Amino acid sequence: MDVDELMHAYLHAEKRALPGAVRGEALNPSCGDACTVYLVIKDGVIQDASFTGDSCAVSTAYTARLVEKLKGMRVADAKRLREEDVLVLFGTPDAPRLGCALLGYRALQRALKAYEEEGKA
Amino acid sequence: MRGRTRDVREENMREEREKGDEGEGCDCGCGVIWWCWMGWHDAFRREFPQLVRFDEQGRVYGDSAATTLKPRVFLNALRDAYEGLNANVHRGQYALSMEVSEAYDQAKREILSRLGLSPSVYEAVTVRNATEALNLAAHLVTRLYPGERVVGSVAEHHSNLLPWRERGVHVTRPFGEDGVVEVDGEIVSVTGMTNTTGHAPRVDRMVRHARLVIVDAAQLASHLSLPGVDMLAVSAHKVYASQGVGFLFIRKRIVEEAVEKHIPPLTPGGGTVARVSMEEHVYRDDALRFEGGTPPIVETIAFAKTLAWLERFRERLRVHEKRLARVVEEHVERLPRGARVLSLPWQREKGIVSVWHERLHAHDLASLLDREGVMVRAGWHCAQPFHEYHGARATVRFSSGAYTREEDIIRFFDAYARIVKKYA
Repeated sequence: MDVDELMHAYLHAEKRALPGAVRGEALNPSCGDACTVYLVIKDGVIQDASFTGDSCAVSTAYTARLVEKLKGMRVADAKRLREEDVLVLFGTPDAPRLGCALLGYRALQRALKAYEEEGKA
Repeated sequence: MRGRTRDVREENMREEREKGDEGEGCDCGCGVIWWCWMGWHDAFRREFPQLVRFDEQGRVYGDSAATTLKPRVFLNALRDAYEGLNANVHRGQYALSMEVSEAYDQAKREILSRLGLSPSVYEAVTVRNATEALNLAAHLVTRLYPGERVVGSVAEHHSNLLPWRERGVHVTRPFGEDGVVEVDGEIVSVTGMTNTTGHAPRVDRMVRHARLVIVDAAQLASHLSLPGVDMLAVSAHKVYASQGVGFLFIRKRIVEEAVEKHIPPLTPGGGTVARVSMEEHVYRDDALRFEGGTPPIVETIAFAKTLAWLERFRERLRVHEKRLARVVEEHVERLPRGARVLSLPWQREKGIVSVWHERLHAHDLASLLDREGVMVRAGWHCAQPFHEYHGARATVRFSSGAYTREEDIIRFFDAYARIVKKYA
């Protein structure tokens, strides 16, 4: 994991909410970091994705790259994303930071779940 | 002596140690002449094997408030006791069991006196750690004084907060400038020293106005001198000894009162009872009533031996730790812009600092510091209310131990400033 690359991504991350999007939130209780992932989905495809929240550099950087990757992705493919697919975005972080790196991924899981519930309703 | 190679000096020191550390008289009075050659603190540090490894790796251990590193004397005592004094402490059986029981009781008395408490006034109830000790204290206090509230400070560790809150009796009160929490005939359970900032509240002043005083001495005990209050909670692993052993030091008369009022143990079971029948049971009428199950016997004995060893450095360590606290204070004044610290309005007594930054997150700072070879903790340090009180984010905490050098503290602050400059 390149620290400078990660810190650059953190310092330049674009955080924005998406109105009308389905959303999922995740919290890291050991430090209070929170992250919300927004997905705008049409015809089974993620048209737009973004995130907001106050969190550490690792969490912010990985989540920022993750939402970039989600844009244009089919929902079915997004559901198949594994933790490993996220961790390679900057190369595996130092062990104590795995939870941080996966905060956005957990928020994504919740967003995908919310989308499913919406479909059933 | 001077001019010998390092290997020969190592060999000589090992020989001296094996001889039982008795050397010819030396300048500083430590009794081991080889140590004087290298300075007492360097020699002291070399007694901690993990620290020696960190030194070799060029790394600084800044997490002693979480747990302390262990000296060779402790490791040897642990091994020796398990090799030669391994038996349970129930009395009246074979000779070894009686020997172990005696060693265990004697160790408790020694632990009390080395920490400044009289064994004729206090009992030492062995528990797993200070958290368990405080749970036992809460159990006893709420049964001895039902309905009475218990006052704590804004800076308490969660272990001196939750046991009281769970019983619905806790009240938080802020500190005055003089390090005193105002109490008026109430029961107070306060930290002896904050694990986040190294401040020691003026417990002696609170005693005058309180009905009962309990001190969470988990951090304070590392300064080897405890106040004579009603109950104290201690964790051995914060005082250069084992995990898994702690104590509730409690005035004998309170134990007597608890027995008179038929207060049951918090952990009933073997060891707490005088007799048990098919239908009923009677608890013991002494302090062992509150010690359920086989205690950490060997760990207690090893703790006593560790305290005995620390005794020879007592005065020097006292001066040294004061100096470390001053170094922290000096550097706190010069922290970079955007950095803020947890603090209290009087001088700290231990080299501990918890700092947060407006732009940089504690976990990132800790990771970057780790890459620079400085090991610190990031998060709430089990003192989340104290963070809330400051409006603080999660902090990075550097905490000194007896073996910490001034240069270690300086290295932390320098690395911190460098990282902030680069990324904030």
